[in-house]
Amino acid sequence: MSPPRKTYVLKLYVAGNTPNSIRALRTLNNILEQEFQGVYALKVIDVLKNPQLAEEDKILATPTLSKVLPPPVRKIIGDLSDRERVLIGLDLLYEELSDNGFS
Amino acid sequence: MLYRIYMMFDQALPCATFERIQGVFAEMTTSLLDPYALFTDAEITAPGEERFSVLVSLGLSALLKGTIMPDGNNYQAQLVVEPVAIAAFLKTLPPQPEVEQLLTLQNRRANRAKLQSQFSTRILQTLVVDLDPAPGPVVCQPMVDAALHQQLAQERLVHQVTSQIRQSLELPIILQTAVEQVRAFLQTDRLVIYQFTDPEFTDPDDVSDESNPPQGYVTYEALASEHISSVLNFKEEYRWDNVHACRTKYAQNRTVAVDDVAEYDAVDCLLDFLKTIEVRATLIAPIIVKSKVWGLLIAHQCSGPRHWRHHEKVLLRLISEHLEIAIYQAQLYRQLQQQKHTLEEQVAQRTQELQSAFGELQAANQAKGEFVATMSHELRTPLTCVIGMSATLLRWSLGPLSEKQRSYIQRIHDSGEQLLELINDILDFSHAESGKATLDLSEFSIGSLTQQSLHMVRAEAQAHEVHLNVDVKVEPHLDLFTADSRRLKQVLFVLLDNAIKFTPARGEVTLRVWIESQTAVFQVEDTGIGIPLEQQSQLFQTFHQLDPAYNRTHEGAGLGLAMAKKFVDLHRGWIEVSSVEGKGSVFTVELPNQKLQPQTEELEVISPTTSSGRIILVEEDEETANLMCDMLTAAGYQVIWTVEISTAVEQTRLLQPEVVIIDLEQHGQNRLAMIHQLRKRPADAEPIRLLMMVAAEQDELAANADVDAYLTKPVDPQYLVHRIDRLLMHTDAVI
Repeated sequence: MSPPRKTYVLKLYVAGNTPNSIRALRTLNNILEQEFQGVYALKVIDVLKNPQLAEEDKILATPTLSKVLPPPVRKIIGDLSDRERVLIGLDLLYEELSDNGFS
Repeated sequence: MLYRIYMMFDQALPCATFERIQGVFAEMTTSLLDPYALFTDAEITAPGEERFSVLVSLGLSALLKGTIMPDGNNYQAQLVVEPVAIAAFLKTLPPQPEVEQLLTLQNRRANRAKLQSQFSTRILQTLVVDLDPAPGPVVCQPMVDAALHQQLAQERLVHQVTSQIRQSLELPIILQTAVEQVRAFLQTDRLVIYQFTDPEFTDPDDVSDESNPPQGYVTYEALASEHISSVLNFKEEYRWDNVHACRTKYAQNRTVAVDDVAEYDAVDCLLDFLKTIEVRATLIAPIIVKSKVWGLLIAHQCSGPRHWRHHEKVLLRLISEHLEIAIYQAQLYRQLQQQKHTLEEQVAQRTQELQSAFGELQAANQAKGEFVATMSHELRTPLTCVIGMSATLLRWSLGPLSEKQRSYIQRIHDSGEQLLELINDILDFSHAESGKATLDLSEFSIGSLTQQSLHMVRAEAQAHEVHLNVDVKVEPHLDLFTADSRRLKQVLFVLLDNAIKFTPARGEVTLRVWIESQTAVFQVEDTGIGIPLEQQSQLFQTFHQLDPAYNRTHEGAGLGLAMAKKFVDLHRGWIEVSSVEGKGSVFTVELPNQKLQPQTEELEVISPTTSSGRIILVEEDEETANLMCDMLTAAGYQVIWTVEISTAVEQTRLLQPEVVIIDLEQHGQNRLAMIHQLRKRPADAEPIRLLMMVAAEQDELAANADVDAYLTKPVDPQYLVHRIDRLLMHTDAVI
């Protein structure tokens, strides 16, 4: 009788290999590794190489982290250096530990 | 003057006179010049009770014989001086050195006149002296001596028999020894034990039926010499009523003495029997065990009739009484041995049964565990497809989906996830039950864990319109607690989830937490339907929902509480319930701080999805990427999808995935360079598994690539999950 599992779908929009982009990816990686041990799919999209993908999702700035699932969709713009803000943005503050699905 | 005197007298004499005449015999030897021999009954062993003195020499031979008279004070005494009569007497004596001496010196001549005269005078003087009435009672000293002698010998015999009984439990040895000793004491020709065959006294297995009445036969005997015929195992074909009469008679505890069988005219079953074995006199004492005649102790005199004396009868009865005790003891001992043997056999049999049952149980349990693990895996793989592909369909960007279609797909997806959870539960429970599960201990905040647990059920509580209360009373310095936080959260989830499910709208569910001397206590109270008292004990059993009717209204396989109990048990904790039907239930969990517990055995739970497998997917085609992401996340993996190959190497370095999946279809050369770069890693770094996706026609290129496994496009979702599972499960396996 485990709690219902939630699968997170996240999108991180970056523009090439800029320091900001790398920092954003590193921060997100830390969060995902240390605070969030659940199931997620992170899609890293380079807006310079795939502008049509950025356009579809109406991305105006990089780096941008978008939580697609579970709803509602949330976007966090910036290098993600504020961990708390990222966690709240992802609705993870309490749930990050609740979804470490077992099997 | 030559005359022959045959017998000087044959008359009753007082004991004292008899003794004094014996003294005259001794006195006479002083007048003898020739070699002589003088012996009395004290020195020569002879059958019977006769007392005598016999003197043999060239000049004078005399014999004094005396038989005690019924009054006990007088002897019927004979004084014989006739050589032939003396010679006849000597022949009756059993051979022994003293008798040999007498026989050597005896002669056929009459006594010398001078000596005979002197002897006669002395005898006469003696008799005359005794004619004067002696004052006071007559004391017959030799009689007393003889009686004492008799008594002593008898006591010695009884003592021998009883000590034999004490020392040995071997009944045959006791009986044989007793028979031999008693025969020697009684100086009888044959002494036997006649044993009745009786179901009560023999082996229960040998019980004969009604048509075969009890009989008897001689089981032990002692013979005076080899000339006496043996009657061992002699079996007489008695008629049943005779035997019965016999036994009835002996059961009255009577000793039967027959001085002369020829004069024994009573109709008795033993009479014919005695005649056939040449018995002239017999003395019979019954052996009575548990008020039944077990057998008879029988003395036979074959040489002639014999007067059985009182003390002999008493002795035989005394010996038979001691044998009764020995036989009874032996019977008890045999019963004890039989019971012991039976018990030992039963113990051995039970042990055998237990061992085989235990073996079967172990085999069955192992088979069950393997079956559950295999089935869970087999079920999970196709289910992953259902979940993953329905998730992909839900986000289908091409073509319109009607609201109905969408809700159906959502239903497929949700049901799939529900089913997957159930399978995971079963697998987890199977691990816990087989004792393979181990605790993943960590330090955590009780307050924070409580909040997280409440958060998990908040939505459901709202849906059920149940009010959630929380009451945490934990001192800040006790907030940090060591346990398996994931399992504890599962336990709390089960309790809270159940409480909400079984509480009607506008009811209340309360979670209380407090610390009691290194033990965390969690209490979930509801105002629900409650649990009947008789069902509370079954509550924590596997697959047991209390009311079958609930199966329709409340989902779940009945695993929840059983699993919660397993997890609490793993912590060496305690879970209990108290409930009042219609009022509500209180579940209490006590969990000891695991820091105090000794290190539990480290047993790793091997399950492909326990790997926190992080996968980087390099794929340009969004549709393919979405499907793969959905499949892999449904299977429990973390997926990072990156479109652009140029940044992939840097990202891989940063994200440290376990597997990188590369689509080789486009820009083959670039990707080969990337593979090359990915392989260039510090020696101590964890190796990265590379899974390459290739189209069939590009096999040649793929063959040159340094990768761990291949996938052909288009990707078969089920095969993808299978491949990743295998890659991460068996790190050394070549796929």
